[in-house]
Amino acid sequence: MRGKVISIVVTLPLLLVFGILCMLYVYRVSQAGIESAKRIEAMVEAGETEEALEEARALEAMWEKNEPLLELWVCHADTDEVRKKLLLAVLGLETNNRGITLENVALLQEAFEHLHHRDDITWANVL
Amino acid sequence: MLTVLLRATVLFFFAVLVMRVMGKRQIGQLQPYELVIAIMIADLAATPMGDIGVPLLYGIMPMLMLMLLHSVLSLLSLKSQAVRALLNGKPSVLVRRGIIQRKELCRSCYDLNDLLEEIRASGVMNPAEVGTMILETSGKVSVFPKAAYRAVTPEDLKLQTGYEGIPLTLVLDGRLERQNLAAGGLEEKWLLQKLKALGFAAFEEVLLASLDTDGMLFVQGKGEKPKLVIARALAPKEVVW
Repeated sequence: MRGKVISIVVTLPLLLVFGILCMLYVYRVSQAGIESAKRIEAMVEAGETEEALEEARALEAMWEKNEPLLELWVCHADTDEVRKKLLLAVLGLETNNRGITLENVALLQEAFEHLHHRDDITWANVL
Repeated sequence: MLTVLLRATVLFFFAVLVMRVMGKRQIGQLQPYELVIAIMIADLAATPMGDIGVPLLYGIMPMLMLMLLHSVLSLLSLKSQAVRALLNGKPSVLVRRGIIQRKELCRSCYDLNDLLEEIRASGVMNPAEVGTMILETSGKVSVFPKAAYRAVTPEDLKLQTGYEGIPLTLVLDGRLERQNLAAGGLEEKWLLQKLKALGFAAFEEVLLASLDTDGMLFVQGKGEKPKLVIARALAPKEVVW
């Protein structure tokens, strides 16, 4: 019985803390990605393509840094979606294609938002 | 493909660890909530096993949570009869004093044919010989024949019996079991001497050597035509375990 009490006392807080930390981490990366994508969108609309491309490269670097850890607990389909949209956005900026850029930047924001939506404690997710 | 193999290995060992932590029960003795947990653990291990896109943690974390829930429910069951009754139910007496309890049968959704089948499975051919029959919370059925039909015991014949404890396994597949030897207060030299007297030169020649609480040593050798010997090695009063 003592073993069971110890296992509950040790495991439960560990699981809770780990879960909360993962949630916070995903939220942080997600928010950073959304803000960066919004800045890129604003820059493209203002005609500042070079600055937008720089911002996109910085976002790529941030994503490359965080993706390996995120993939430990986020579904790979979701992380792949972010990578895809990011690549297409960068491609659009490099080829100076406003249409492709804006479309993929908007989808990139969606993809980043989806990352933390899946983790949120909501009735929709629980049920 | 190698990744899939590695993931399968990790999940397998993790599932075994979780089942091990949950305790020793046979499948037929599991309570309803334990059976649910066992099935869910199997499913949780299978899902991320074949799909590399699903993180391993999607299997491991829920398994840990289920293990935790099992610990909580087990503790509550231990501490509270009410919780135990709620989680596991109560045993049902299907036959009392040789009379089939029809109400209990209906309540347990137990058919008369099921009843007869269980009676036969327990080794009793004639239902008239059954004194008590209990449907346990695990779903197992316990059948107790009437006193007149059960096997005779030494107590019935007023016979004196000695102590019958667990036999000690002293040699297993050629390897000396030192822990068991120590538990019996015996020495390696003593055992080797006994084995040599029975025709075994070394421990490596022995498949199984077991000493019971009556002091009788059972030895089976290895090989195509193994040697089998049962001989007294200790007097009953020298048995200390």
